Formats: sequence, structure tokens, C-alpha cells
Amino acid sequence: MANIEELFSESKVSVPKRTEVEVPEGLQDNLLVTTVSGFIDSIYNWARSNSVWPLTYGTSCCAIEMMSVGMSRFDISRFGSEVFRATPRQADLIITAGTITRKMAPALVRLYQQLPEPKYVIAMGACTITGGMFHDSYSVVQGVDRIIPVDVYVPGCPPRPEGLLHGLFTLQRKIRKEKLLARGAISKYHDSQVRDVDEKTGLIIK
Amino acid sequence: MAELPIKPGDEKLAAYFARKEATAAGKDPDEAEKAALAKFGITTGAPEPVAAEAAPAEASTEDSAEAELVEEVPPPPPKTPEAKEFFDAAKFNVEELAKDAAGTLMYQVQLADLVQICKDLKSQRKFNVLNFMTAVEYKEAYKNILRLESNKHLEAVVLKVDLPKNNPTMPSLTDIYPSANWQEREAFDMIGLSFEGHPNLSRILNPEEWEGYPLRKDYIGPLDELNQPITYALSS
Repeated sequence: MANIEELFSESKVSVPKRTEVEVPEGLQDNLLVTTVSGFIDSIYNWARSNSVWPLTYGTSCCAIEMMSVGMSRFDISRFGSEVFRATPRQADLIITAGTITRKMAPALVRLYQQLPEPKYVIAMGACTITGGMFHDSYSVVQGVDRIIPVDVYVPGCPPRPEGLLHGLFTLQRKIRKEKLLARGAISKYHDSQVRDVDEKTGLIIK
Repeated sequence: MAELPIKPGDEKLAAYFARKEATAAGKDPDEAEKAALAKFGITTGAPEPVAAEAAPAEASTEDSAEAELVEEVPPPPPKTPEAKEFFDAAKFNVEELAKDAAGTLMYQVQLADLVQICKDLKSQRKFNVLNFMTAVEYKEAYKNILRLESNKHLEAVVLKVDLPKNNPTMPSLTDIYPSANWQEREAFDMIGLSFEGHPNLSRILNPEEWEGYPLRKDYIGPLDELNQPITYALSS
């Protein structure tokens, strides 16, 4: 998200300050640790970014494009993400393909919390980014980043399969820049961004 | 030995075997085939090879079968619809509305008569399907709309009933049409109609403890962090 913050700072728009990713106290100036971890990071992240397994999660028409990406014409398996898992415990990534309603929001939050770290979210389509054409609906969550943290936004209604592939590349670039030592801080940041939605009333829990 | 019933296609088999036996015995296969076909009442003019004869023979049998089918089912004679007959004969206080675009009969019925009308239509006139039930809010009243269909007569009728705004309650039709169960739950969920005698009148689309009825004209949805507008302040 650093890039987005820079963009906003150039246009002089203030955004809420996000949690800084921190290295543990004792290890910050340790030359050995930083050198070795930098070496390991590059290999580890390269391997990890080429096998991002998505969760089978689609709530409306964007899911059709997501299926199309999985089929032979666009073939997301060229980039190591063809293994759509049926359970969040085996997945790294949620592609929120479709409108998220207030009734679906608790389920999405629960799925996100069941993903093991490191976990990523691609917000696919106008509905999950801003609410889209349901911008004044009583029942639609106006942007999935209000309930879970989002890594990559893929706009479109729905986006073409190439768009989703581009979103995946963007996510891969992001993964390759991550630091192993910052894993704990990223995890804390993820937990801090999750908002609980009440299953019975469909409202956010204070 | 009892004779087996003759099936379509038997004559081709008979002709085939007759030709085979005749060729094996050194006789003329065409004559043997002709004789075999004659037993089935088929006379062929010039002797032709079986393969060439098969295709047109098949086509002709199909054509004749089709022709018979067409003759068996004549076009149905024009007839007054069952629903119209029913409402003309019965002494219910109904008002016939204009037909809809598909030509379906529509009736405005009284709330008190609704259950009896549905019972009679189902038992006497075989309107055995509740196609859908929906509800609309008008200025003066809520309107519940039912479309009944008959599989026997292949026709439909639409019933409309007014429910007062202060107490939109009507008797449940689940005893007559079990498919009304979920339709009534939806009408309860979205418009707020109440159905007396429904086995499980709870919300079906919205969350269980949702407040208000979203398709009412005066409905205002909830406002919380899931849908309140975000404004980015420009920093100078």
C-alpha cells in the first residue's frame, strides 16, 4: 500500500496513517540477521509468489471471469495460481469476485480469519471496491476494504480475465518485496483491519 | 409355437437374412428378398440393392408416422377459459380487470373470499399450481398478486387482493398450495405482509433480525461503517 500512499501524498490528499511494519527490537541492527534474511527473502519470496493458491470464492458475475481465468484460454496455471482450494485453510488468497452483501459479510470475515498467514486479498470488480452500481443499496457493503484489508484492487464490471491476471502480477510483485522478519507485524496489521459484522442484524459490531 | 409380434424394422431383417441364405444356397438374392418382403405386405417394383432401398424406405415410414401424429391431434377448438366460467358461475364479488400483455385473465378479488376462491379453483377447475405470489405497495393499499396455473387446461389466472395499509394481514395459502410457503415468507420479509396460519413466518432473504421491510416506500436503510460515505479531506 506504500505506493498508494505516495500517490495520495503527491495529490495532497490525506489518508489514514497505516500501521508501520516493524522489525523486532533486538534484531534491527544485527548485520548477520539482516544480510542472511535479505538473501533468504529473495529466494523465499520468489518461490512463494509463484504459487499463490486462491480460495474458491465467488458471489456473482465476477466469478464467471474468475472461472474463465482458470480455464485453458487464459490459464492462470501459467503463473502458479490454478489450485483453487475449497477450504480457506489451504489457501493464500481470496479473490472477492462479486457483490458482498451484509448477509455475506460475516461469512467473508470468517473465511478471511481462517486463512493462515501470510494471506492476501484481491478485490475484484466495482462492487467489492466501492459498492459499484449498488452504491445506494441498503444491503450491500460499500467496498470490501471496510471489513477486511485488501492488497490489490482490480476495477471493472466485471474486469476482463487479463485484468485479473494483471492483478495477480501486481500481487506477486508485492509479495517479492516483503520481508520475512516483518511477518509478525503484517499479521498484527491484518488483525487490526478486520471488522466483525453481526450475523443476525447485518450491522457492524462496535 | 406362438408368433412373435411384428415390430418396425423386422422386414429389413427378414430381407437381409433372405438375401444371405439365397446367396449361400446359390439362388437369386433379389427374388428371395422380394418374397421375404411380400410376407410383410411390401411389394417392391424394380429390384434394388438393400442399402440403397433402406434410406428412402425409412424416410417414408417416418413421414407417414408424422402424418398420423398430426392427424391424431387436431387443433383445440376455441373455448371459454375455465377461470372465466368459474367466476361467471360462482357468486363471488370479483371485478374483471384488463388482460395482461400475454392475454392472461386478471381478477380483483375480495380478501374475505380469497381462500374459498383458491380452494374452489384448485378442486373444481384443476388450477393445481401456484406459479408465483408477489406483493406491491400502492398509495392506498398493499396488493398481493397470485398467479394460478392449471396443468390440465393449460391456462392461467391472476388474482389481486387489496390489503389495508394499517393492518396488511391475509390468511396463509400454504394449506392449499404448499409452494406458497417461501413466497409468503418473501412477501413478509420484503414488504411486511403478515400471513395468518403460516407454519414458519420468518425472514428468508435478509438477516434474521433485520429491522424494517426494505421494499416499502418509506424504508430507510441502516447507516453504519459498512455504507457511510468516506470523505478524504484535502490537506493544504
